[in-house]
Amino acid sequence: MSSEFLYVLGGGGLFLLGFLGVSTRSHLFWKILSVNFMGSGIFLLLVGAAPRLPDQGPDPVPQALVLTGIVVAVSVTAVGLGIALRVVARTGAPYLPDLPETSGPERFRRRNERAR
Amino acid sequence: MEWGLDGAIVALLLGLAARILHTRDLFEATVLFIAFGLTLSLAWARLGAPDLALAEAALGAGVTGALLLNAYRRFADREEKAAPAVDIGSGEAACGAFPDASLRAPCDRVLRLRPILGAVLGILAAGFVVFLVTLPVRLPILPSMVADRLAETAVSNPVTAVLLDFRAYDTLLEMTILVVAMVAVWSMDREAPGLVRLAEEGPGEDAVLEALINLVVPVAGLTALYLVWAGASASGGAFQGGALLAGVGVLLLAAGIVHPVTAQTALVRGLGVMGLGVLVLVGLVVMVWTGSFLAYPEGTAYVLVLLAEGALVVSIATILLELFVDVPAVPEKDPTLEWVDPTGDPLGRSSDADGIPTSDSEEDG
Amino acid sequence: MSAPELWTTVAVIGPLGAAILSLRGGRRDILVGLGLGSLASTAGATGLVWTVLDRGVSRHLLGGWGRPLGIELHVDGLAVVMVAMTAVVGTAVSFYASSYFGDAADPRVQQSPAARGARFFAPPWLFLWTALNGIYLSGDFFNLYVTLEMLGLSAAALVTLAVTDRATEAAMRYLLVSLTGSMLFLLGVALLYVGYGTLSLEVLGARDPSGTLAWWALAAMTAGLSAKTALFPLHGWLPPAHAVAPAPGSAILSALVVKATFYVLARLWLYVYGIGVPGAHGRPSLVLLGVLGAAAVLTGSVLALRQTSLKRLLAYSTVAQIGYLFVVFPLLSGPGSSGDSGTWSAAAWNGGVYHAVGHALAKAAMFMAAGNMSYAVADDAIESVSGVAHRIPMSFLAFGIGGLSLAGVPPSGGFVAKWLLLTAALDSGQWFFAVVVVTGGLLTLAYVLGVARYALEVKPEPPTFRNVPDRMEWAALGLAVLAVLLGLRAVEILELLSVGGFSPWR
Repeated sequence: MSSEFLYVLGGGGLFLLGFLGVSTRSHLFWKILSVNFMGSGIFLLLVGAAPRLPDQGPDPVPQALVLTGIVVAVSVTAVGLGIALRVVARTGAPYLPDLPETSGPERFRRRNERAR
Repeated sequence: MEWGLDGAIVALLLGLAARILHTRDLFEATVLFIAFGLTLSLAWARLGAPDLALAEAALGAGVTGALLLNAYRRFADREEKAAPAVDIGSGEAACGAFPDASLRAPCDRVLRLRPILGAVLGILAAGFVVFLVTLPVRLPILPSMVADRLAETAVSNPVTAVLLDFRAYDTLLEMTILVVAMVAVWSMDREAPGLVRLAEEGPGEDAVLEALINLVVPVAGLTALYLVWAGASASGGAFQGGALLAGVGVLLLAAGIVHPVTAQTALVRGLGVMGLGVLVLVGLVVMVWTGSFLAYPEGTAYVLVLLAEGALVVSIATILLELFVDVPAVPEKDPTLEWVDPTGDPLGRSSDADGIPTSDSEEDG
Repeated sequence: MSAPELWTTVAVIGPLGAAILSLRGGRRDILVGLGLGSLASTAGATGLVWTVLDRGVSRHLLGGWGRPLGIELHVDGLAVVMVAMTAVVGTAVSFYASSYFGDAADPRVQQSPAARGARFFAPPWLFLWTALNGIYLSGDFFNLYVTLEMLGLSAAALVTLAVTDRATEAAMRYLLVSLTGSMLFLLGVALLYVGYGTLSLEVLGARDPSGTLAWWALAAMTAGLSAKTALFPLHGWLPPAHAVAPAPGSAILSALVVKATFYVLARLWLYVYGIGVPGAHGRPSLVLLGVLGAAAVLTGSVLALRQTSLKRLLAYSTVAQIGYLFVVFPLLSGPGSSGDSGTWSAAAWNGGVYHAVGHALAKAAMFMAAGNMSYAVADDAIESVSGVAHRIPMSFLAFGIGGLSLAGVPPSGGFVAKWLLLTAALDSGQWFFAVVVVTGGLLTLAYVLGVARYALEVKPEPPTFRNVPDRMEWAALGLAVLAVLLGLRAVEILELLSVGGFSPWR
């Protein structure tokens, strides 16, 4: 077992950290960062566990997949940041309000009080 | 020795990620994220994937980092008593503050559920880790198929061969995603300002900025072109080159040397769409010859791949640049816009500032 | 070039070309884009129907490379039915949109700076259309991931068209859910590639995935896809997002987008993993999905009854109708079901697909009709639509017919679907789900009639009505009528669906 396997474990851990971040951090900036972590974790897993050609490094198919994945991640991060900035600009706070069925008291009261 | 180095890199990755998720400081998170991207680039290099290392450095750390640096200041929570959404572990006292009794019950229900949910997810996560640790035992030894057929593609870099020959359709869709991102960012109104400026009209008295520009722009520009050209036979390619060119563009824009071209001009739209358009046209034209979409005829693969990469570079650079630029909500004197109808509410009813008649402002219970 | 290559390219690249053309931004460009997209999608669908009936299951090897290196497009009955559904609904919505943004914009969009909706509806919608057809025809895992991301991004762009606070929040939530779901899906793809060395759906099916790695991959992908399809309890993002989008956008989101993610889920479970057949291991998880679906049907319908806003009612209705799709899973091979062990229950499967198609037609019609009704009275509240039945009878009729189809009143497509589902449930002895199906239908009828009551009443002082353009009314009514016709032409459609069979790819 070669040391590439460490990257597989690292990738899995990174994915879990990202998932934890998306679920627990309510701040939009960190939610976006967490999605990036999930992606990076999956990429590490894919390349780390990929079969290796003799003397040539890993199988090019996972490399191409990860390259595509990186570009997609940049695109969605840009759009995500754009929408998040609009949320902050409009509501004044970088959080998503809880859905009405599960509203916390502060958010709900502020929603009703908001003059705009 | 290898285990030590790789172990250190992985530990650094996980440590940086954990620190980023823990901190409440936006600047710290941004800077550490860039460091994370560079470490990841190092990891790709260690894994023997130089194309990925280049891409991660240019796109993951570079472009993403630049986007974050440009935007992080505006995410600061301006309200003093900002109460974030109920986090896992909040006390049930939070629900007692509800003015409306009918809402306390769902609030309580959710708060009771969250620890259970947390426990379930924790067990799943632990199981996942155990599964990963035992992974090597399960994996079959599978050879890659690419080596056998690489000669047929006339492109000697196997990653480029996969991207632009074997799986060119995926690259076409990836390019489409970039275009959709550009359109999505355009379509949002100007409430979030665009690129942060370092200077208004060129570096002026700022010697550091001037030196930076004089040094970086030519070198980066040449490197970008080289990466595209070399991508067919060595590491590199359109995406890395395009990102580097976009970086050059961001620097010139931020220094005020180039004034922002709004995305409303036809030129910018055309450049952004060019890569996708070329790929689609190539795919359709070759289909007449060979019968399948994007199936290059015998002997034309090298030329077509290079053509596609050239178009892609232009588009990628343009789109990535446009993701930074300020886009006005109302384009000045845009002749193509014939549907503007600035009438107000014809019934003259009162409505909240959103423009929605007031009966809709209630949330359902 | 043979038929599958030609028609799959028309169906996917056609709308893509239309999207590129529409980016030019002028009024004519947008109309050309919408028209070309509709034409290409319809022509592609027609061609594909012919292809499937003529030569059965076929493939388009993109790039000329076969497995395992290249990407395949896979054409069978199910894929073609979904492409055809998308073509019909998409054409109607495009027709509606060409008038909606030009003549009679929703006051929320109209008051936003510039007629943003006009220029920025067509490109995302056409890209979304491309993604839909791409998903239905795809035979490759990673290709599915990329196309799903494209779908999510375009759909988010549609939600952001309305420039209100709540629209922005809804779009953000939608994007986050979509991205998290995509990441979970990608995790599954990565695990499968690493474990089985292939990205082709058919090849993986042939290798009969089972064992711990396959289980983890399926669990991750199912979690992601269920979130994207708004399965209970992960449905919270859907009502805000679908309610705030402009009317044609809501129609697209509810009718088409959620079907695509469900389609991927069904392909995975039934064709690749082969869990639907009697005797397959994994049946308890099918029951779990079914129970969640039942919960969705009941909570969605009850919450719909409590809404005061017309579009939110329809959005919660979507949550409920999606539940039916998941109820199909346990019905495919119940403990008491008969039939040979290699295939799953045709009745349940046909019922499910019919339900998906019927819902697409009916819900799109209803959203468009609701858009018309709200526009006429400049108000989205249900109580305010008094008198619309007399003023714009076509829209009211569209809403009513669509609603009756959803409730399962004969002779509509919804009735056929529910009939098939009930047959399957009772045949296999799973009476619990039969009760759920019937109850859901009754609740649907309740909230549809609730709206109708207001629409039909005549107030002594009728509010001022705005004129609704004819095109918008025709589009809504046309789809509603098709939802009924669906019920009358069931035999032919089910015959088309059966090409490719009801058994896993082995």
